[in-house]
Amino acid sequence: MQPAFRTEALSKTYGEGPAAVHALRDVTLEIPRSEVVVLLGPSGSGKSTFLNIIGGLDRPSSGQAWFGDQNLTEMSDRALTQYRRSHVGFVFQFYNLMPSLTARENVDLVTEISHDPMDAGEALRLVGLEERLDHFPAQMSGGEQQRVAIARAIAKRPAVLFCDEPTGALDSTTGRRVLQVLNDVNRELGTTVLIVTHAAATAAMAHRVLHFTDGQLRETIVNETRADPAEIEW
Amino acid sequence: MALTVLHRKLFRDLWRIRAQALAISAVVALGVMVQVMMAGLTDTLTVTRDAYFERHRLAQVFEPLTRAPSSMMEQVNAIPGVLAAEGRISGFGRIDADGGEPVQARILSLPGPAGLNGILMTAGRKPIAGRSDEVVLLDTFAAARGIALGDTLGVTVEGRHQKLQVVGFARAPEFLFMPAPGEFFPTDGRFAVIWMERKAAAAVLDLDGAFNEVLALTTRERPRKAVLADLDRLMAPYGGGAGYVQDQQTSARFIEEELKGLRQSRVFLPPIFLAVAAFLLNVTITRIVQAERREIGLMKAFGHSGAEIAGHYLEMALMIAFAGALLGSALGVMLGRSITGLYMEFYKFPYLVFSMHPGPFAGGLAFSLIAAALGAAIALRTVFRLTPAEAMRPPAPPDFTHGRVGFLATVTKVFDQPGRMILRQITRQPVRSLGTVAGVAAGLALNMAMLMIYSGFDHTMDVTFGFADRSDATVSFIHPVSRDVTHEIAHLPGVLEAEPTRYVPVLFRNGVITHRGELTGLSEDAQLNRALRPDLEPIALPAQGVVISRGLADVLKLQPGENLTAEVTEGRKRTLSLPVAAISDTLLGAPAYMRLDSLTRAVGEADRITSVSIRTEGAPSPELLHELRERPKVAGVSIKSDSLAAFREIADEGAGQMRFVFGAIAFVLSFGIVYNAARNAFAERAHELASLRVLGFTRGEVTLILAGEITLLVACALPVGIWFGWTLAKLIARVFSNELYRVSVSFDLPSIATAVLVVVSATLASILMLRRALDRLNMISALKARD
Ligand SMILES: Nc1ncnc2c1ncn2[C@@H]1O[C@H](COP(=O)(O)OP(=O)(O)OP(=O)(O)O)[C@@H](O)[C@H]1O
Ligand SMILES: [Mg+2]
Repeated sequence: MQPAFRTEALSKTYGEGPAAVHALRDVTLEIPRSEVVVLLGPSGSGKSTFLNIIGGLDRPSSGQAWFGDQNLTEMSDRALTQYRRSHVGFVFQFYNLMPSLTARENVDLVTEISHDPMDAGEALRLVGLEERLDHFPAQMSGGEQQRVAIARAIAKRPAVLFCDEPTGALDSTTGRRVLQVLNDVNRELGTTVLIVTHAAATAAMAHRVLHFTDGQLRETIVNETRADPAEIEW
Repeated sequence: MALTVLHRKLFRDLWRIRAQALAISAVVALGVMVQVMMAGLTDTLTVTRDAYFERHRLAQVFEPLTRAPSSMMEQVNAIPGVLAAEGRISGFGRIDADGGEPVQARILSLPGPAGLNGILMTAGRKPIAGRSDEVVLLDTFAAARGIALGDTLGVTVEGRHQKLQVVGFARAPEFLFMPAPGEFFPTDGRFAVIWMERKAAAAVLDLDGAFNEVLALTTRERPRKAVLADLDRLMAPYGGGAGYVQDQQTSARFIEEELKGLRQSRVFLPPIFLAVAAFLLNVTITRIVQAERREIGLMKAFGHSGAEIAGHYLEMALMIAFAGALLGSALGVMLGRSITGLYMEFYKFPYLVFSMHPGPFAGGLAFSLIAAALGAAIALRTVFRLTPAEAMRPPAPPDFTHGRVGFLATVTKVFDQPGRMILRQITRQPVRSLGTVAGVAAGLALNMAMLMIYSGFDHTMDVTFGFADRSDATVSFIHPVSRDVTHEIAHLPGVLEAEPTRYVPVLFRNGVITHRGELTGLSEDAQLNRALRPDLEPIALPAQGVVISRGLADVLKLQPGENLTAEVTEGRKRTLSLPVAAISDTLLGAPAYMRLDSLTRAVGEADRITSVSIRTEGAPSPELLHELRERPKVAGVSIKSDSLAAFREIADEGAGQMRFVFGAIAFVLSFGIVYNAARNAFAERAHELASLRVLGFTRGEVTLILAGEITLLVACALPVGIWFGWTLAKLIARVFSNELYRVSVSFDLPSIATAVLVVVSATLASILMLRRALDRLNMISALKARD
C-alpha cells in the first residue's frame, strides 16, 4: 500500500549566511496510512516546521514531500488550499475556534465547504460534546474547546489529522481524554493521525514514533504493542 | 529610561499602523483644511471688500431723485449724521456697437470733491477738464467687448447720438456684482458704466445746475436708517423718498449673501470631520489597547502608573491628529488661495487683501488635538481599569452569547457560518458599527447635498429660462412707451412673437417689513413671460390683485388672501393695496406679477410699457438689431443665449472646482472610515482569518468574510446617508435662499448615484488594500501565539 506521506531530503532554512537557522535538514521518511504517529523532540528541533510543510501550510527550502502520489512541493497556493480543504484536519495547542460561532457552527464552518462531511452533531458526539452543541467558546473549558477543535477537524472525514501539541494547554486528565478521542478517530475512521508533543509518555499510544533533534530525524521507533491513552501517565 | 523605551515603542507602533494612522490623519486634515480654507476665504473676502468699499468711499445712503437743484446739497449736508454727501448725475444711455445688440449703459458723473462712490482707474486717465467727449469706461465691459483706450463709442442718450472717446478704464465697488438692467446674472459684456465729467453728464442728461442722486456717508452717532428717513423727507418734493442704505445696494448685497453662506459652512463643516476623526481614533486605540493588555499589565507590574501608560497611547492619538492638522493647514492655505482667486475674478475685486489670521490655524490645531484626546480618553479608561493580574491572564474568548436571543437569533439562522460570523461581529459592537455607519453616511450626505445644490442651480436655470421666461431677447426702453410699440416690434424682421411688459419700481410693505422691488405687468395672454406653479404649469393672472413669487412671499411673510402694500417710487407716487391671489414658484428674483391693464390703471397711467419680450426665428439677426438701434427710445437689447452662456461659463468653473473638492472630501472621508474599520477588523481577527485559511478557506473566501462586515455596514450607511443628504440639501437650500435667488433641490438621481459611487469606490479601494494585507498574512506566525 502506498504510504500516506513520503519526504525526500526535506530542508527548511530561515535567514541567510552565518545567521541562517536550519529548522529542518534533509529529512527523508515515510508515514504509512492509518497509523497514529507521534513526533517527539526538544524545543526548536523542527517538529512544527515539519508538520506545517506536510500539512500544506508552509513550503520547504529544498527537498520533496508527497501526499500519496501528489507532490506537495510543486503545488500552487490554490492547490495547497484545496489540499487542506479536502484531505487535512488540524488541531492546535490554542484551539483556534471562531469565538463568534457556537460549537455546532464552528464544525459547520468546515462541513459547509467539504464533500461528504459527517453531520456536525455526530462529530461532536464522537468527541463527547453532544450536550454542548449550542454553546459559544466563551462558555466552554479549554478541554471542551479542544474537543470542539477535534470535532471540527474530523467532521470532513480527512485522510490525515495534524495535531500540534493538542494537550499543551490542558491538565493531564483532560489531556488524556483528548488523546482518547484522537485514538478513537484513528480506529473508527482509519484516519492517519500525526501528533506533536512534549509529553514523551504519549509515545506509548503510537504505532510509530519519530524523534527529531536539531532539524534532523534521529530515530524512528515502531511500537510492537500500543498502550491505551487512558493508561498513559505524565 | 522607561520613557525612551516607551517612545521607541510609540514610533514602532505608529509605523506598524501607518496606513491606518495616515487614513485618520487625512480625516483630521480635511476638517482643518475646510476650517482654514473657509476662514481664509471669508476673512480675505471680508477684508478686501471692507478695504475696497472704504478706500473708494462707497456711499452708505443712496437717494435717487428725479431732479433737484444743486443748491439743495447744502440742506443735505445739514442733516444730522451726514458725514459727507454728494449730489451726482446718474442716467442711462445706449452703446451702439456696430453689428451687435445695443447695450444699456449707466452714465454717471465722475466722483466729486467728496470722493463718494470713488472709482479705481485701471488704465488710461480721467477726462481733461472741459473735454466733454472724453469718458472713462468700466474695464470689464471694455475687456469683454475688445474696446481699447482711444476707441470711439457711439452712445445714444436721451434720443441724441454722441461720439465719446474712451480715455480710461476703471472699476468701482458700486459695480462689483451687477447684472445688466432687467437681467439676473452679471455678464461682463452686457453691463457697461460710462463716467463723464460732471458738466458733460449734466449736459447729455439735461440736468444742468441739478443732480438726481444723493450719495452720503454717515457718522457713527446716528443710525443710517434715521439719516435716510430725513433724506427721504427732504427729497420727497424732488422725486426722492425711496432711498436705500448700503446693505440694500445690489453689489453689496450679493457679496454679503455669499459671505453669510461661507460663514455658515465654516461653522458646521469642520466639526463633522473632527467628530469622525475622534471616533476613528477611539476605535483604533481601543483595539490596540485590547491587543496589548498583557504589555499594559506587565508595565503596571513593573510599577508604571496608569496615567503614564495612558499617556503613551494618548501621545499616539495626538501625534496622528497633529500630523493631520499640519497637513490640513497646508492644504487649506493652498486651496483657499486658489478658490479666493476664483472669487476675486467672479466679484471683480481689482485687488486682494489676502488675510490669513493665525486664529483658524491655532483653532484647527487645538480642535483636532481636543477631538483626538477625547476619542482616545474614552478608549483609555480600560488602561486604568486593568489590574496587572487580570492583564496577564490569557484573554477569554470574546463573549457572543447575548446575540443568541430574540430577533437576531432568528435572523442569523438564515445565514451560513461566515454570514453569522459577520452579523455577530457587527452586533457585538453596536456602538462601533453605528459609528461606522454614521461616519460613512455623513461623508455620503455631504457630497450628495453639495451635488444636489449644484444640480438645483442648473434646475433653476432650466426652469427660469425654459419655462418661466421663454423669450429669446428683451428690448427695453429708457422711459415707458406706448403699448403700441409692441406691434411695431412684432413686425420687425425675424420676430415671431412680441409681448409687452411693464416694470414699476415700488417699495413693498407688509407691516414693518419692507422690500425694494418692482411690480411686473404682463399681458393677459402672456406666453413668453409667465408665473408658474410648482408643477411648471402657468398661473392665469387675476383681473384684480397680484401673484407674488415664493421669494417675495417669504421676505414679506405673506399668504394668499392677504393684502400686499406697494408704494410706487417713480413718477406719481401712489400707494397700492393689492390682494395676493396666488404664489408662484419663481426661482430667480422676487417678482410680483399683475395684469398689465390693471397695473397701469392702478398707477394711473395710460397703457405704457417698459420692455418687450420677443421670440425670434433663430438668433436675433443683424437686420433686427440694426432696426432696434435705429429707434432712439430703445435702451438696450439683451439676448438671452449670450448672457446665459457667459454666466454659465463662470458659474461652472467655480462649481466644477467645488464639485471636485467635495467629491475628494467625500472619498477621503469614506475611505478613511472604511479602511480603518476593515483594518481594525483585520487586526483583531488576523488569528481567526489565519485559522480559516488553515481550514482550507481560499484567500477570496477569507477576503469576503472580512469584507462582508464592512460591506454590510456600508450598505446600511447608503440609505441613511441618502436620507441625511436629502435632509441636508433641503436645509442648505432653505438657508441659502433669499429674495435674490432661490436654491431649489430635487431628489436628483444623478447626484445620488455620483455620491454613492464615491463611497462604493472608496470601499472597494479599502477592500483591495486589505486584500494585499491578507495575501501577506502568514498562517504559521498567526497561529504560533495567541494575539
Ligand atoms: N519564522 C521563523 N524565522 C526564523 N526562525 C524560525 C522561524 N520559525 C521557526 N524558526 C526556527 O526554526 C527552528 C525550528 O522551529 P520549530 O517551530 O519547528 O520547532 P519545534 O520543534 O516545533 O519547537 P517547539 O517544541 O518549541 O514547538 C527553531 O530554531 C526556530 O527558532
Ligand atoms: Mg512547535
